[in-house]
Amino acid sequence: MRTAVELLLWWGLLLLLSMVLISSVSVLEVAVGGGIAAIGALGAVAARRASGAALGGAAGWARALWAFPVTLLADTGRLAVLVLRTLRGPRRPPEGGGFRTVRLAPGTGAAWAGALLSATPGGYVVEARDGVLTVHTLDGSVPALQRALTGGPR
Amino acid sequence: MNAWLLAAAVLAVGGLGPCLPVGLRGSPEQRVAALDLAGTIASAVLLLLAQGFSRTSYTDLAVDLAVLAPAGTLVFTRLLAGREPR
Repeated sequence: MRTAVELLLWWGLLLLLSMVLISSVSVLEVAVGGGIAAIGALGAVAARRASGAALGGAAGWARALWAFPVTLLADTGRLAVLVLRTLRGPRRPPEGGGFRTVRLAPGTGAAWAGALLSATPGGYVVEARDGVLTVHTLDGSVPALQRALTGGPR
Repeated sequence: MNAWLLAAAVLAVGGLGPCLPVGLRGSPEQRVAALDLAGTIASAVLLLLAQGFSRTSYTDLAVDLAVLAPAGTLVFTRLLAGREPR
């Protein structure tokens, strides 16, 4: 039953993605998209089982989702400043950039939290172990998304 | 020439312009940062062009790039991870 629900979720997600990425939605497109999404869903379930990954707890998801677009915009701005600064000034890396460990708030799943953090330009999760993420960051600042995931101050 | 196309031209020159020298001449970490920014700006330029030419089908390219460009950056970042001691 659990596998069927997971398959259905993957299938729906992949079908939605294919619908977003095409310009005109016709019956043929939906049929082809549905077929390919079914194959993709089978592969996704197999890959997830092989990796032993689990979604983890859902604590703090609403706050994280709210902080995500803010962090996305702020990080893009910081990235632009960084590139422009590299262009004119001395070429040295920004202060505080590099690997950092982030302890997630209790009940926050490492899988989705890591994916969300990696989707912003300012951070990339390279390792997750027992609720502690190893994140490669752009600079020393702590983005809103990270504060939301660690349960830090707003 | 409408406002959308003008905005696309300004963003392409003003945004992608600085990314090019940094992406070509910087250190590996700076190049990845420039590549990341270039992907974001290129997606926005393609969206503006689609709007400027009134062709909704052109947005497909921008949406595809928006999905694929960050994934490419993540791959490069993963390869750079071995350069710095943890």
